[in-house]
Amino acid sequence: MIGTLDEAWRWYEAARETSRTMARLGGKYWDEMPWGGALGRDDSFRLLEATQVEERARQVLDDLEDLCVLLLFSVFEATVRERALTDVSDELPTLRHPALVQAMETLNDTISHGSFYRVLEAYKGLDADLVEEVNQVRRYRNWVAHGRRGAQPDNVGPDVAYDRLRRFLERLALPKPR
Amino acid sequence: MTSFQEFLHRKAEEQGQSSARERRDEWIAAVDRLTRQIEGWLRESDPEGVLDLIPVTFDKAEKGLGPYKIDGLQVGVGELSARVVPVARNVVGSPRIMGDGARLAGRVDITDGIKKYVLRRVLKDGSETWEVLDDHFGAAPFDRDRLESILQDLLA
Repeated sequence: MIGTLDEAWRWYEAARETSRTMARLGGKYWDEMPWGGALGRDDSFRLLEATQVEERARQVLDDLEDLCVLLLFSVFEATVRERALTDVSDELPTLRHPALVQAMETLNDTISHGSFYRVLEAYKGLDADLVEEVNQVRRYRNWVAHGRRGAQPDNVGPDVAYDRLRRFLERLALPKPR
Repeated sequence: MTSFQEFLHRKAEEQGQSSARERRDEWIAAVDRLTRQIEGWLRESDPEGVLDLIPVTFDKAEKGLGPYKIDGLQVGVGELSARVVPVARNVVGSPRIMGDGARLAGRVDITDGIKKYVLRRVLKDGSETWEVLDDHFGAAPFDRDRLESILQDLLA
């Protein structure tokens, strides 16, 4: 279960290394494996061709970097929204007046489901440069999430996304990844 | 000037076309310099011409640059090959080498489709250099020795 940036990063590294291992196995060693024994009777393997194994691994690797940025940002967004809701709840007293209760519900709904760009904007007073750094990641994530259609925004690698999003969470003094 | 030409000029101005074209041409020229450098190093390292060096063209479209075609390079021996693939002119992040005042101005990957080395173009005080990131995102200047070790890894 991926719930933190660190867990998302570990997933990325595991997926990358596993795919590379399979590609290498398919590309170089498949025919040398001991097919005469149990391996050759295992339905998970016996029908697989070396080229299939390598090609599937390449398909995974082709998109893995962008998927990592997508995943990191999803985890980040959920964490920031959750934190904002908690902060608002902690700072406001118990509300009784129906108008205030309704306003509070609207605010919570905006934080939970509204534009994440707006949520981030609220933190500009904390560190405007860092918010802009995160927005660059957000723009690239959006491009990936919408099928990489149209002109590519500034390229963001997984390492840069991980670093920026982690620094933002640290700046918020959020708990370190679980 | 016809009304159509006026329309095109107005649209080009609105779209910042001249600056986009400058950035695009500048990037295409930078990648061309890089691939020529790589070809030059490989010709020195491989005087017998064992390696096949084949230009490969990529279609790209970047914000601020528009659509463009750019050449990379395929380096092969027998059925094994690695590609020099231009990824983007506009890259988020900071250079790991060259210190303060340096900025990133492009990314090119060298990959066999399984492993990948990321080359990042670094500009500082009007000079251009390339850094290479390894699997663990450690950076080093890109030079002939580094190119040879990358190809030994990718073509192994």
